[in-house]
Amino acid sequence: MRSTNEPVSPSGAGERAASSDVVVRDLTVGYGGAPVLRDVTVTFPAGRVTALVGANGCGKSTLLKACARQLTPTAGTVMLGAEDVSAWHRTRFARTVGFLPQDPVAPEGVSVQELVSRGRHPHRGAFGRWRAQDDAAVAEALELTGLSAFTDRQVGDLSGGQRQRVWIALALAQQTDVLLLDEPTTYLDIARQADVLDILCELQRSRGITLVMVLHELSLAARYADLMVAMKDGAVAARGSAADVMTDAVLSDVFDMRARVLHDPATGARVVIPLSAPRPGRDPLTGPRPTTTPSPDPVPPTPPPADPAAHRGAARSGGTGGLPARPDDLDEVHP
Amino acid sequence: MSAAAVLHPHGPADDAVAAVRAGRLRTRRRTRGVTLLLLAALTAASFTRIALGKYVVAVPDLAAVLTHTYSGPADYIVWQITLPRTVLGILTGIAFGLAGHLFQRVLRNPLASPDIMGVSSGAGLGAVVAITVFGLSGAAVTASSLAGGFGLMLAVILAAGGTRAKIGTLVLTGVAAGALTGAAINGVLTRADVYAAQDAMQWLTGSLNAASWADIAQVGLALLVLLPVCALLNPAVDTLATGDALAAGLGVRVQPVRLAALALAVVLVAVAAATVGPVAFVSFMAAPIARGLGRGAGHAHHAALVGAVLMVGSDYVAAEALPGLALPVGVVTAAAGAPVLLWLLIGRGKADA
Repeated sequence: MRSTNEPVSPSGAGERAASSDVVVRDLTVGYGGAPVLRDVTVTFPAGRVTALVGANGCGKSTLLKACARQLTPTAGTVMLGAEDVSAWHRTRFARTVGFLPQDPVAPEGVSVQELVSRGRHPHRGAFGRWRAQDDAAVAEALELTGLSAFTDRQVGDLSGGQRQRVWIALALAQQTDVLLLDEPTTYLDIARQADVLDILCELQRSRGITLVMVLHELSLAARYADLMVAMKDGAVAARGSAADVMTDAVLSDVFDMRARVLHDPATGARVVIPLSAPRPGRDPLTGPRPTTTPSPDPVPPTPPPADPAAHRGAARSGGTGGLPARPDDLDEVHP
Repeated sequence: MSAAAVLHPHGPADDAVAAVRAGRLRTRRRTRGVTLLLLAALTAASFTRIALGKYVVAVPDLAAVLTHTYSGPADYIVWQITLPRTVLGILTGIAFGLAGHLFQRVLRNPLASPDIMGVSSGAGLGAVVAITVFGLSGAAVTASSLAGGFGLMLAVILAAGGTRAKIGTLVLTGVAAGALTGAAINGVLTRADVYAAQDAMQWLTGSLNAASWADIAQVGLALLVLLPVCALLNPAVDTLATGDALAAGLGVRVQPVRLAALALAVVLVAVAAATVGPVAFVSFMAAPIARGLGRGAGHAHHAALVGAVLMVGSDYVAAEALPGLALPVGVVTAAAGAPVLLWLLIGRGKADA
């Protein structure tokens, strides 16, 4: 059985390297009316976890949808490594890039295993013939998401957290190099959110896939992502490690509110405290915009209320410890 | 863990793969079980319809009749009346059932069947105009009802926003168009002459009374072409049920598949309705009943078989239930459809609560 299981991943993180960098170049895209994104250029590095954050309506979901080819850009390109994906056949694209939208629909009466099996759609031939490697992919997806005991259950009978894991399992069964997730933790309580993100990051680490997520919960984004991309008004406002992005100044700007970021040296976690709305005329927290200088130094250039020794690599690795603190390729400057 | 598992640390364990395989085979067995059950029900209904009508044909006689080694009144009854009715009932039932399944699946709404969304009324209007205004019959009525069904669906899609139409808009526009078309049919009928109107009325109710081998050939040929198309489209249609965005991410061409499935369903309904009339609620009932039997997501072939059982069974009830009064099949299916509609609405209300 295992011999028929296509090796989807190399044995370690980062091995497939630049081939699946998601490169967005001068992207302008919208929903028919005025463009939501204008001239956005950003790179989601291969084999890393990127969190897209920003206020409602800032264009983060739109950027993700454009990367998933759900929207047709009016200008600019989305590339995987050096290849423009707009010319790819949809089956090839679906075998390379997985996309979990915000509002998938569980068909009535469908079981967990049946729904997860839909993830094999792009791998199946005419009339949907099912092969041994499809079983292996579904088994792996169910195992990774801890759903092996639920295969016969009706999806409609599951709790919100379990159902979200089913959708993630479906995306995993698709066996793509790149996984784009639009708010995978919405509607879940804090424990279930951490649960889902643990699964995703564990998987990302073991398979070395490129993971890009839209996340609303900033503290979780900071804790789990290698790279944070903050968006405002259809443009990238800040990009860098959690230490770079999770600062009073950046968040106050991105969310148009006064915010204070607290840093827990013990866990490396960062917590955002929203303060009151900025008063018209003056904003006491607006300082100089943080400059993300190209530097391997994990200490953010703007003075955060942080222990300089604790960088975010320690934050995420938890007990495993072996994770690199920051990938080198995160240091390009983006306006 | 075996040595292989160490070499491939990311592969699933063998027993996990075996469990998935076993689960898949279990689902397949259950699906086949439902298929066999429905085939048995169809056989029973067909036998009842053929042999146990007003003129009861004994089983040995029936075998002789079917092999043309019998001559007598049973020969005429079976070959000219009950057998064509049954075969046409099966074929049109398959067409109605499949069409309902396709509509409800790609529009993700159990109420969005061709009969409720006005396709049947469109086909009906086409036929009524052909019969009463132009005094046509036969193939011309078929063509006119096809044109009516297609015209209505096209108008609904265009009115709802063309290829970018949202599902909810599409369904509501369809319901509105169906009501409008119903009014148009009534308008045409009141101005038609009495005899033509009576012809048209009988056709509109839906009836197997006039079933002929020519009708069977027509519907059978159409199915021969349409069923493989349906099988080819089916995996994409099933994946579409998980939502447009997810399906697109899985490589489904969402709008082309949806429009192709709707067009296929319109042809199925129009072809069937052209011979037996827009029999009420068969499209609407088939897929929900199939889903209830299968305890699963519902399969196209189950919906087709349920449609066939409904047509043949309803025709028998219509013909034999009231002594001395042969009702058209559409009366029975309409009577059966109303409770199913209520059941669906109540069930959905509970699910939403």
